[in-house]
Amino acid sequence: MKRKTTVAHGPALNTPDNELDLLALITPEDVADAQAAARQRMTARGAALLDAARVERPPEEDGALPLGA
Amino acid sequence: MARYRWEPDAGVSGRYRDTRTGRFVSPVVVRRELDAYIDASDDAARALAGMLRRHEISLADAEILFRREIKRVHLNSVALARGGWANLTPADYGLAGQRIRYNYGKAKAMFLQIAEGKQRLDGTLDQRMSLYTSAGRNTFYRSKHAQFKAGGPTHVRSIRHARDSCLECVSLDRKVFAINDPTYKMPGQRLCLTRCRCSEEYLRLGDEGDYLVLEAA
Repeated sequence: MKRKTTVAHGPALNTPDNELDLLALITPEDVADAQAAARQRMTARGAALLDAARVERPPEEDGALPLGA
Repeated sequence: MARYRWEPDAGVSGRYRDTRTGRFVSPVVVRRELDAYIDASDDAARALAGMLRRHEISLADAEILFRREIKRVHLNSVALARGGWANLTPADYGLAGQRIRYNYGKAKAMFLQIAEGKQRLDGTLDQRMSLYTSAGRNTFYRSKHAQFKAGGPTHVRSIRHARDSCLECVSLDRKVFAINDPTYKMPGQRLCLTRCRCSEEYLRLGDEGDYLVLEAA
């Protein structure tokens, strides 16, 4: 029988606040990870809602002036 | 073709429309989907607490995994409130990032307490860790509030769904508050913390003093 091994807890990370600021930034990998979690944990309808079609907004809503304006 | 389409100008902060039936998706359905996701995420947080209790993982590794769980919950909550991944704007990512950063700070304090022996590794840890994943409900409503349009809702009403609610949820149930009224607490900010199962209904005060329900809970 395989002997059960235990892991020492060790210290907490105690990450400095300025590093936490950077870690909280959202990267494309984070988005892909969240999407994978949603597909795994949501119902088919929930996953379909998250895949809703993109809405094309008119350019003036972005606050950007058209070229040459 | 996608089954659902996001209509940003419908409802108080946009609504999903089913492209097969042509009908709007009820906000109750959207909230139910969020609840299903959050319940599954609660289980993941509790499983992590169990691994810590059984000494199967170090504190540092658990904290890294827990941060990932926090990020997933808030991103998915904002995405569901704002029309899915394809419709998220930089402002939506900003709000999610703000909530993630806040919860990273709280989680850091919790893991330090575990290391110092101030937080027991019993069922209280399970409950405490699941509070972080349940926080997605509060983020969901924050995201909706952030997108209220001019001429949109003027008032909000909390609707209780759980059979067992905290005193604040009971006292706020079905009472109408002006948007941004400091005496009103959103779901997730009350005594029951992020476990709150209440939802919000959005109203507009008409010229004749009667309320028009813009989005029912």
